[in-house]
Amino acid sequence: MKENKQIFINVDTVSEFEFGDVRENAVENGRLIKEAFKGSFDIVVKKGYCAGKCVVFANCDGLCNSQKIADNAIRPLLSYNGIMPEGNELEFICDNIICGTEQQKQTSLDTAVDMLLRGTLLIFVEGFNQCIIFGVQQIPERSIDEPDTDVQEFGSREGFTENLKTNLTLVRKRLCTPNFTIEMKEAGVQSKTRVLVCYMKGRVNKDVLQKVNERLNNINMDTVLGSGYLQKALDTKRLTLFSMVGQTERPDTFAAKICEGKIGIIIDGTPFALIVPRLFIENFQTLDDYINRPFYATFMRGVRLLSFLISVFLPGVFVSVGLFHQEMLPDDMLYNIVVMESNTLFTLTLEALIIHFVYETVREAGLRMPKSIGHAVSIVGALVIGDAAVTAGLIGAPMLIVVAMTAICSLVSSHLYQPIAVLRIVFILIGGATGLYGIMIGAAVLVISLASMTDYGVPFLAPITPFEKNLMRDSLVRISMEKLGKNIFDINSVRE
Amino acid sequence: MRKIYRTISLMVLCSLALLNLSSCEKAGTELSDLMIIQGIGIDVAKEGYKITVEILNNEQSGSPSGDSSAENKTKIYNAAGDSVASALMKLTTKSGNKPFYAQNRVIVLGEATAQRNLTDVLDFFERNYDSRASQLICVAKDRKAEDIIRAKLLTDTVKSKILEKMLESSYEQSLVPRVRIVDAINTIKDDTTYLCIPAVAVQNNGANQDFTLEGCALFDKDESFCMYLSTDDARGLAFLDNNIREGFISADLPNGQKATFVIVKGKTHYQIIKENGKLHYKLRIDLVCDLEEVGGAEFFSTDDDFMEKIKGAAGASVAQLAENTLITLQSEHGGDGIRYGRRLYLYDNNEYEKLKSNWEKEFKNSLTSLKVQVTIRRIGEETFHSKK
Amino acid sequence: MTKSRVSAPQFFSVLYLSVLSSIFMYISSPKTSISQTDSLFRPVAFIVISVIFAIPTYLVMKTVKEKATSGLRVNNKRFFFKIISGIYALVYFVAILRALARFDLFASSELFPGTDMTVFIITLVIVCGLMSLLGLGALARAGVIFTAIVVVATGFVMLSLFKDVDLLNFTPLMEQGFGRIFYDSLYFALQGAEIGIIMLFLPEIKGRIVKAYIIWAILSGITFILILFFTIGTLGAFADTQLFPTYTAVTLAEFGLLERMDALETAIWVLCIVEKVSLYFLGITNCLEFILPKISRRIIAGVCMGVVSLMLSFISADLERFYFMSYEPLVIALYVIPVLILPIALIIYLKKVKPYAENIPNN
Repeated sequence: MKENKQIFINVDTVSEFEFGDVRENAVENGRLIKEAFKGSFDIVVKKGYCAGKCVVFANCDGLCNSQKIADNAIRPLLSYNGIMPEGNELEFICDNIICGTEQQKQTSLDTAVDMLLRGTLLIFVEGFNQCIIFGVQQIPERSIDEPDTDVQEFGSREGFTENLKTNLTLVRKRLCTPNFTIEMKEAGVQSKTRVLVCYMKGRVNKDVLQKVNERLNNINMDTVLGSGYLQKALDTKRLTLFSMVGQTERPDTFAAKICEGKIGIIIDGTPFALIVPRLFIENFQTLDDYINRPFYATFMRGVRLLSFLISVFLPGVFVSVGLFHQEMLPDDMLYNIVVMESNTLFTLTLEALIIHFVYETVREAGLRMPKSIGHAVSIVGALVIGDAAVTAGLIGAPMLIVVAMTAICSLVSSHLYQPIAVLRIVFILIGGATGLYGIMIGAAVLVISLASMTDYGVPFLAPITPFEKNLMRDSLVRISMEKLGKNIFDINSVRE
Repeated sequence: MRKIYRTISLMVLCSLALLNLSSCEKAGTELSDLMIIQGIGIDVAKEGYKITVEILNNEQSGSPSGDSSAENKTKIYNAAGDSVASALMKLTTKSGNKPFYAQNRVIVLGEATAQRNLTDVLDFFERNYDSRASQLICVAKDRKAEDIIRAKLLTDTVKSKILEKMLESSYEQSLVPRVRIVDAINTIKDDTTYLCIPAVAVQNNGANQDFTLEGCALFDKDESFCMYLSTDDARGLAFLDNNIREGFISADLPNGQKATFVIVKGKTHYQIIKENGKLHYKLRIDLVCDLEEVGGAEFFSTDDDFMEKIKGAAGASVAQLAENTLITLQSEHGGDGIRYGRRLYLYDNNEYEKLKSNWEKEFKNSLTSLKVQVTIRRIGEETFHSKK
Repeated sequence: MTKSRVSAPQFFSVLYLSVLSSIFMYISSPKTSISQTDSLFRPVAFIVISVIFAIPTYLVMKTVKEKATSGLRVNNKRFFFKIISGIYALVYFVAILRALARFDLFASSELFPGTDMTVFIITLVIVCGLMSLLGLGALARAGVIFTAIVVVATGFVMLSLFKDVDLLNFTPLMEQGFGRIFYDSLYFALQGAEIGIIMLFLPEIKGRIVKAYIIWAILSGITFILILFFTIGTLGAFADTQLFPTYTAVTLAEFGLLERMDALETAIWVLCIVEKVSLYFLGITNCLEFILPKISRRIIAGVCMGVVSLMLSFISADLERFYFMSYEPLVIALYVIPVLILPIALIIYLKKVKPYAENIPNN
């Protein structure tokens, strides 16, 4: 335990540079900043005179628009020759000289430096212990693209980007109501990542909101570089494969969830926003369901649920049937399977494990390697798994079909891929050791532990169990929009 | 304390996982280690019983992708032992694989086995967890069960499957009763009912052989063989025992024509009364048929009269069939194969208790009156106006 | 553990699974023969008896629950309550043993014959023990899903058995006389020993308990009737030759290509066992936690699991010991003590000791 402390930096003990308040001496402020960022050439400090008063500018090159700084701040200030009201110069500069909508005054130099690092221009005026923060940010960002995950057939083509403001804008334009409320927080001692807590006033439950705020405030992390950093903190404390925190890359989905009374969390620097709490059935719902006709939406939800079950249980069940319950196979099928499997090298359990390992490896390789050679891997994978292994007598053809089926099904509910990948290996092992009865016991454990998950007062398996008739209109089935419109899904009605 | 608890529970879980994993190697039975039995023939041998089994040939040298070679689909093994179980166990030593009864389709009893006690033979199948209660049983008429299992059929198929299909379809055609293990045991446990098991044989067909249905074998209350019922007599069983499924009826029309009907559905109703100290069973057989063929081809008109005639002829044909069966059953070696006793038991329990001990005689003395009601549902595509 | 309250339907769905497990693994013996049509009366008697015998529990509920206490597990140091809790724990401990021994026999006769089931059964014990630690909320919520699965699967089997029902397999009504039917029915009602455990969870159930209870009794009865009907109708006298007749009936079910679904069906029955044993474990843990407040419930549950596992491996070794678990006085005691004697004792005590009400903290 002791060594641990030496190896890892304790976040609490990291000392921070403290600036204190803004000094009246403008040059002194500039010097402090320069000294703090010694060696960082992107921090630019410039001195000038405005109507005889010393003015110091500080900005972070690259995070702001230099043209805008020159045109809207520096040139008007330095070229001003008129009279300034005595003792009220700061106000005068803000109101009459520099042009821009985003400006504020700040007395704390620490905060001012924080803002500097977020792309604003700091203007220190001689004789004032306040500085002007002038918004000229131009943080490099990706354009709004179609999201790679959460793909929808008929939904909007906009996805979140890494920029907090853009993301907020994308949501705001979908929720034009004063009830849509945003609270800003910071997370990460070093990264000071900005986090927006978004919710719908009147629909959100106060206890849930308080709990989310509590958990966000108690985060003690050095850096927050992605949504996953916060997900753990917001999630249920129980050891489980499933998560009660949703993640989306789509502003439309995000807006819809907020309307259901949930709380959305947008994190700066990642296109993935979080939504709490998330129910189990949400894994089988997509935005397309609300655009498609109800009967088709219901059908597809059923298909997705079935795919989930197949992807978790099919290999395990196949192994257990092949080893323990051969009588379950219809006669002709048994004959074919027997002939094909009899000539393979490994036992069924081992076969299933090997082929899943190969599949997961190919998948991981396809995900991580440079896109240009992605096709090569899929060709090799398909050839090796598909044909050669069977011909060589390593793997039986039925097992290959089972794994292919499983692989396709597991991609249907992409949010559940992680638990699925682990669970199916577990079920193969259980099925190979104890047959269907073991699988059933495993399934019972799975369901009971899912049923035990309750976070933010919301049971994970709601509204199926505890059964909530009204919410069933839009859970596994979806009734028509006209009827749904009046009874919007309200997450708080399942709170216990 | 918490730490200790965690360590202990972790250790328990790990050891369990290990136990489970180590059993991976031997848990269950690999498909290639199974001797998948398709049909079992039981004959009498010197030691006791001789078992002939047809098993799936799962050691084909075909590629694992499933294109099997020209090898046979099935193999035949046999073994003898002093009981059915011990003979079956000996099969393991022959093939090296574990016998697997769950997919067994049919149990064939050789002529000599049938003449011995049935319960001995069936006990194994009743007790064994693997063997399903719905396996069919049949008797090899005038031959060994081995002959049936080893029959040289034209194509390389699973013979037992063909036999099973034959027995199933014969049952669907109301030709013979269906006797599964559960039916056989039920009948044996019943105090009055004789057991009728379908009888099969093989017939030479050029260089090959075919299965044929040879009526039924009748077993008495002590489970010993009484007699064979001919194919026609076996057909009557379905009408007398309310087991009418589908099937056909041929009838002679008064003008010399022949008509054939397909039974769509049928039901037999019973009424039991006691007359002059004898039991009188009043049976009403309701049949719904489709007219399939009218042979002998003379022009016939559309009138109701003709319809009545063909209905009457069909009824008479069924009545004749049933009557013949009844006569055979009530003959010297016969017995209650049509559950008259069981029906009395449900209908009038007190009377049954009185007659139970002497049921064989009561059955033979009982009277039966038959009434057959035929409804013609369809007459096919040909109209009555067609001239020939 | 957070004490989540569960709704009455959720709780009774667990009890429904629990009683179903008894009928699925119904053992036929000369005393409990089910091949007679008369046995269809037993479920009717089951409903009536279950309702009548629940009156003591109802009275306790009236006296205690209205004061918003935690039923038996009152935060009351009185020795009497500890004794009562102890007896409850003991009774359900034996009930667990009985249920698992039955399952062990079932598993080793029908599921994996010829193999040693000890590891499997011990795994089951540990799983149930751990699941009980997740609390009543988890068990009850999962119970609803399991009930749906079990009902659908059983209904499917019944549908496919329908064509195999032969009315001649039934026997004349009242063949064995009223006395025998009465005795059999009483004995059959002992299958419903579950109702005693309601007492342990009273405060955690919200909603209309009485209504849910009556619906539970009626639905259980109807399910029993259906299962018995199909067992008798398809097996007839053959049912008496089989150790587990309900299981044998299931093996006959064929539906198109699916010929032997018994493995799937029995695998689904395992869900009933898991729920039943987990619920009993939870009851025991609650009682023992009340008696020994200083020991953490995890340790209590762990010790229970260990003892149950040891005793099961002892029972499993010899068929005679299984018979002891079906020994008539034992079965009767397992019903009468928790369902009648303990609630009546409680009522008497509560009436006598007036200051009880003041000692109860509000939950």
